[in-house]
Amino acid sequence: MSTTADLTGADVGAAGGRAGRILGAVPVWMVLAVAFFLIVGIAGIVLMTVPDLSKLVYRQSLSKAFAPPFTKGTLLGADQLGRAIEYRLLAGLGISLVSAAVVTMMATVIGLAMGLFAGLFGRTADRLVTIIIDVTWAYPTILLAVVVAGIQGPGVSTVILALGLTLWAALARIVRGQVLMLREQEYVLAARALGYGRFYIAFRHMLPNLLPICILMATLFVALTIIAEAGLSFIGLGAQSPTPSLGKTLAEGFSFASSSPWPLLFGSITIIGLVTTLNAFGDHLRDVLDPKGVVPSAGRMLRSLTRLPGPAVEPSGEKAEFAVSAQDVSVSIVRPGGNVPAVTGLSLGVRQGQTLGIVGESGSGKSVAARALVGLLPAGLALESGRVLWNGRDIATYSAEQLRQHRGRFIALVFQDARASMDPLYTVGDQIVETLLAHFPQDRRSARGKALEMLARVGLNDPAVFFDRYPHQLSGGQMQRAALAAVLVLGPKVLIADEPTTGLDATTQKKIVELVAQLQREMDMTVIWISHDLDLVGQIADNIAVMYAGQVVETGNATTVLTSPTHPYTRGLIDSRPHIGHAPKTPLASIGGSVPEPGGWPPACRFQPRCERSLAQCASLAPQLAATERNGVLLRCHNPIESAPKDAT
Amino acid sequence: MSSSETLIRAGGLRKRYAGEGGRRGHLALDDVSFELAAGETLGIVGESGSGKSTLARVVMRLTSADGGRIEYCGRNLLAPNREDAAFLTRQVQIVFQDPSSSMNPRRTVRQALSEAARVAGVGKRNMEDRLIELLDAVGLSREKLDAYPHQLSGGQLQRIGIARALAVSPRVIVADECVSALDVSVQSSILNLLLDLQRNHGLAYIFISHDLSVVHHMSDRVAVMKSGRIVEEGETAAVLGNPSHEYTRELIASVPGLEKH
Repeated sequence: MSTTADLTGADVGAAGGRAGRILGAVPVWMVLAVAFFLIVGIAGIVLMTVPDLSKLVYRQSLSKAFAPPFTKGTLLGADQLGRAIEYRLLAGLGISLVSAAVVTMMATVIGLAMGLFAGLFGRTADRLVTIIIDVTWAYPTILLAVVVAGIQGPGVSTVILALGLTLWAALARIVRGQVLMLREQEYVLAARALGYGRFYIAFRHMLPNLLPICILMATLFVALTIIAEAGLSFIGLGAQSPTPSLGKTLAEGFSFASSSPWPLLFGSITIIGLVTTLNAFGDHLRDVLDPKGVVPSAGRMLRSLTRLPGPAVEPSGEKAEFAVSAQDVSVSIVRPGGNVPAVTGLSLGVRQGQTLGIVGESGSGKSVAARALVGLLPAGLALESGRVLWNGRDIATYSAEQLRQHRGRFIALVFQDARASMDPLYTVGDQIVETLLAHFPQDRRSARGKALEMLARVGLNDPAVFFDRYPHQLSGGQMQRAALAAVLVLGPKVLIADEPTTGLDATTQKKIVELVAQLQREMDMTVIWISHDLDLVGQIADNIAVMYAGQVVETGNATTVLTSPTHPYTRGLIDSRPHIGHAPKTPLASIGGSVPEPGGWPPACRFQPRCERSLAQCASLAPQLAATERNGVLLRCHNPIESAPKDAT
Repeated sequence: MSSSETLIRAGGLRKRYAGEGGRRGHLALDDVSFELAAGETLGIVGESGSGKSTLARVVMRLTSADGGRIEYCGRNLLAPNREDAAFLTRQVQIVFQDPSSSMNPRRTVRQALSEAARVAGVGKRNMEDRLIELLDAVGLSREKLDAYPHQLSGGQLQRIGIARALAVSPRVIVADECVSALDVSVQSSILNLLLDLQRNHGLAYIFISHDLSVVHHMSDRVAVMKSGRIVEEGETAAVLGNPSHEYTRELIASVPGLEKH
């Protein structure tokens, strides 16, 4: 149940819009099985309600008592009173279906109403509902059934009441959480800003987004009702003779099992078959509705990276030209319908001690490139071709153990979300010490000393205090410093920084940038800095690579590229940012259209549809990354801008 | 600008968010005062937690203030009567930050925009024309009317967000980090659109952003916020060219693009 609660409203909403596809994703046999029970159940309802037919269910014939299957005019045999088991079961399915429908309706309506009430009517309403939910939750259904049975006597309606009055709490709890989340969605705020009231918002904006969760919970409620009916009838609180409910059939079959096993056997098979089908259906529905989907394990991805076919490059013995380099690396997103390229033909290198800035917008593949350089692709991504070299050695020639050792000691990665890279249950200091010990066995005292020294070096003054802090006790800037300390304590030669300052305040960002530059000098590190921010990268990088839609489109000396960009995209990026030299309130240059998603890239030049300088060949012939006459800059464009220096603004 | 009519006059605004478990909580607005004249842009810049989004919410009556007052053309904006509330809804609108949540994922552009146009009294008969007019104003074609949000890009969604705000023909739009979540190559087209709309409709903006370069580009006047207070306020060129508060200087120094000049 917790996974359903994890679904965010937006995801669920998007999923709900594809109802047809969702049902299409459920296996055919499962749909058929559900349909079978539905049809049989409806047949059972008809059997019970049409007077002439219902005689079949109740007709006793002592001569037929305990008849085995296929004898005396019965299909599945007869029970202790000679009633045909097939009709009893058919009717029982009908009763189960009706009670499941009623219970599900009750629980869903009450649950939705309570959840919406709690989420929309302020703090007091919320507290009240939460208390009611907790009490209901704590009160066992069976106890309530005893109470209800005491008041109105046992029967199917007792089962329905007892279940309907307790199951709603499960849904209400989820709905409340969803409503609290939906309430902060901007479209809800916008509707409020337009003066719309709670009821309008509840019906128009919240209910449609709560529907998928209700459907999911309903499949659970149906299965639960069937089991509970059987259980309560079995212990005598539910259906009474001669009502042919499944639970009653089971209970009577149990009592007379020594005389004839058939009623018990067929009753059990029916219930198990029904409940198993419903649960499997519900599970499947949940999997399909879960936007995260099923992704291959990280372990498999790692192997595919290290055991790549093709000639591996052995270390030549000489000092390698690049500390880290990629040769024609292509990475794909693994999708059931066929892999989608995320990065293609990536070739770049960084010299020891230098800084390479990789710049790109969302979907440019810059983060994927970073992960490939560390040889650590996240689950769901696969290396299709190409080589990654560390100090001139192909990392495919490393064993898994060698790779593990080099990662950390030779190359390290810091992320935008530094908090996620730390374990919230351990102090900052403990985590640094553990890292240190895993790579360099030594006694804890000396490890602690090194950790403290590193914390001081990343500017966390009073390191002894920060050593004992937990991640949640640090601010965003402190957290990024701690994350840097945790990777730099191993003295890596290469640091890959993936948007480490995005989301931090401007003043904090500046301090982190300065800190990395200072540590780079002190530790003679090579840095690859990945960012969407051209201004930032321009400040710190020796070389930059501009990525667009999975490719490098322009790369070379940072000053050259940024002051006289020749690729229309690079130029567009630079010109579309407002600068203080730009007259305020005048139009900015802009690039029409939007960044294409992986899978939606144009076939030839990927920037062509947005490019003002596009020629006929740009739509048919993919440009290659080729050398230009300027200062070693590589460019991927058929119609570059003349490399006149950009007028200084 | 001084000759223009003053639309919003806010004084001494205070807002404290309740803390958990008896803690004092967080002072989001601390004696905030400002004025907004017709047709001008007041930029509000500050870091996360400085209170700028709370200010936007208070102006939009999405969050109540604990103290202080805001008047819109002499009417009480903080606790309006029914008639004033309806009037204010049509005078002051908001554009939000996150394109992915700016539209209900299960509703089309048509539904989202007509919800807003209805508030302005557009009837069924004129609705289609009005919606096309709105899309046209934000540079989108009428084919987008039946699109769902997942069929639109971030920039297009932000344009819909602006069209929704325009639907009531407001005089003031509060833009709360309205380009922060967009790709750099899309940001400028949205900024250009906002400037166009201001010229054509005489809109006044309260333009909120953490991005000093963008605020500088958009604003006639700038207010710098820190810890719930406006620490410095004035003409954009004066504040950014000759900052008097230490924090403003720090902020300017931290922007790579600004520092070079």
